[in-house]
Amino acid sequence: MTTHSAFEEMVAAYAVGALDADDRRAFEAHLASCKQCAAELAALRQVTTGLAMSVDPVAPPADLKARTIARATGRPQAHRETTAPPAPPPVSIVHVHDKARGSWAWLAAAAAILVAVAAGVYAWSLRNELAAVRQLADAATNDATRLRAQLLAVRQESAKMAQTLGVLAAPDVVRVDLKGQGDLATATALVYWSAAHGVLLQNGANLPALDRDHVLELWAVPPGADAKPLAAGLFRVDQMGLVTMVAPPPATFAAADAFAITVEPSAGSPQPTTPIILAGKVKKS
Amino acid sequence: MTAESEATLVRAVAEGSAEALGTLYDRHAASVYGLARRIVARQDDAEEVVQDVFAQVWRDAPRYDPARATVAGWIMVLARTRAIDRLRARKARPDQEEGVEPAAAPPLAAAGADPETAVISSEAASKVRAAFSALPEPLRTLVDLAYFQGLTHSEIAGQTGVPLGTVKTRLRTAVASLRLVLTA
Repeated sequence: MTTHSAFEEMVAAYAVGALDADDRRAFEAHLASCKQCAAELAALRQVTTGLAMSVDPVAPPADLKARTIARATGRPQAHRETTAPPAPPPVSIVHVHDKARGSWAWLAAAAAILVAVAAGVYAWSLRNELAAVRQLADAATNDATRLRAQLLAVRQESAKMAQTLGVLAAPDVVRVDLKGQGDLATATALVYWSAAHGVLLQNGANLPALDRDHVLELWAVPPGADAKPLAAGLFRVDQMGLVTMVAPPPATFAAADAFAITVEPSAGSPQPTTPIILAGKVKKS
Repeated sequence: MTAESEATLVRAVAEGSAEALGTLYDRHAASVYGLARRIVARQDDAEEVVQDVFAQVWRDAPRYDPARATVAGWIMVLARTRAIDRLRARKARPDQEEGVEPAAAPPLAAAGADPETAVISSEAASKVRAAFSALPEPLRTLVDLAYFQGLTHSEIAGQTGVPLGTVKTRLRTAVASLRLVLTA
């Protein structure tokens, strides 16, 4: 449904005959019941009537009068009129009339006012256009911000991918299969470890779902009977139930006999605080 | 040539006086012809417009209402309407031979004076004229295309390459500023 304000915007165009057919029909239907629009239109009729009256007169061909009167009245013009001495050219009549009545001073004043008014109104319409352009610019800026965020995410993803490939392609990479312990016997995960490139955890399956306050922590167990596990990275199971974690090369250990996973508070722990749920030995080649 | 004597002439025309019609012709034909020449390109079309207008004055004189329009305003609005009709008919059949009647004019308003007319003094008309010529260029062209070339919003947008929304805004602005000068 078209609102009244939409019709208000149509009045001027309707007055000068510029509405397209659909708009015109809709406006005329509205006009029948809207006193406000009818009053506005009546005021604008003064403008359009004034426009019609404002064109310079041009003397028509001399024989046009006889043809015009004959066609209008359906009878030839009386001889008295056709033989009468020709009237002074209508153009000069109108000009004399204009000069006799008009004072050019006020006309110039009116024109000056109008120039100011029109310039003001024009500036106003330019401001409207400017506002529209600004909106576009804002939208473009928002797009740019969003794209920048996407780009950042892609870069992070790409860095992660590069790191992953770095680990997988490293000459010293070893693969460690982790298996669930106790109640989690069906849980599995796969660790690739390179002392030079880092740790990659993949293909986690049947891992426990955790609340927000907990996280899975991967541990590297160095060689030696009484060696303490070293933190190798934190990860969570994603919505797909899959897990991928890649961590930079661990600075704290250069060799590992085994890897293990425990559940830890969300910030991670320097040492395991809960029983191991998955574990696997590094195969010696 | 007071408003009263003009109205009296129209009453005489209404009573069937061809002589009164001739007097109206003498007074207004140059203005009608000037407007027609501005709107329709061809001289023969402009002459047809003059004949159309005075034929309508003859037919509609009994319905002329001095309270709703001066005689000059009434005749000039008729002239603008008939000229636009002829321009459209010419555009619809551009290859038509000279002097052949284009499509018939649409039926006239059912009753009363022409609804498109308003009473406006010649002084106010001069103000509108001054205002129109003082309009900044893109606005003046828009009013010209709409009122004197009979183009709609979309037609103007198509012809000028100005976006439709901009055409609407600017035309509204232009008409509003013409109106302002009448109230200033």
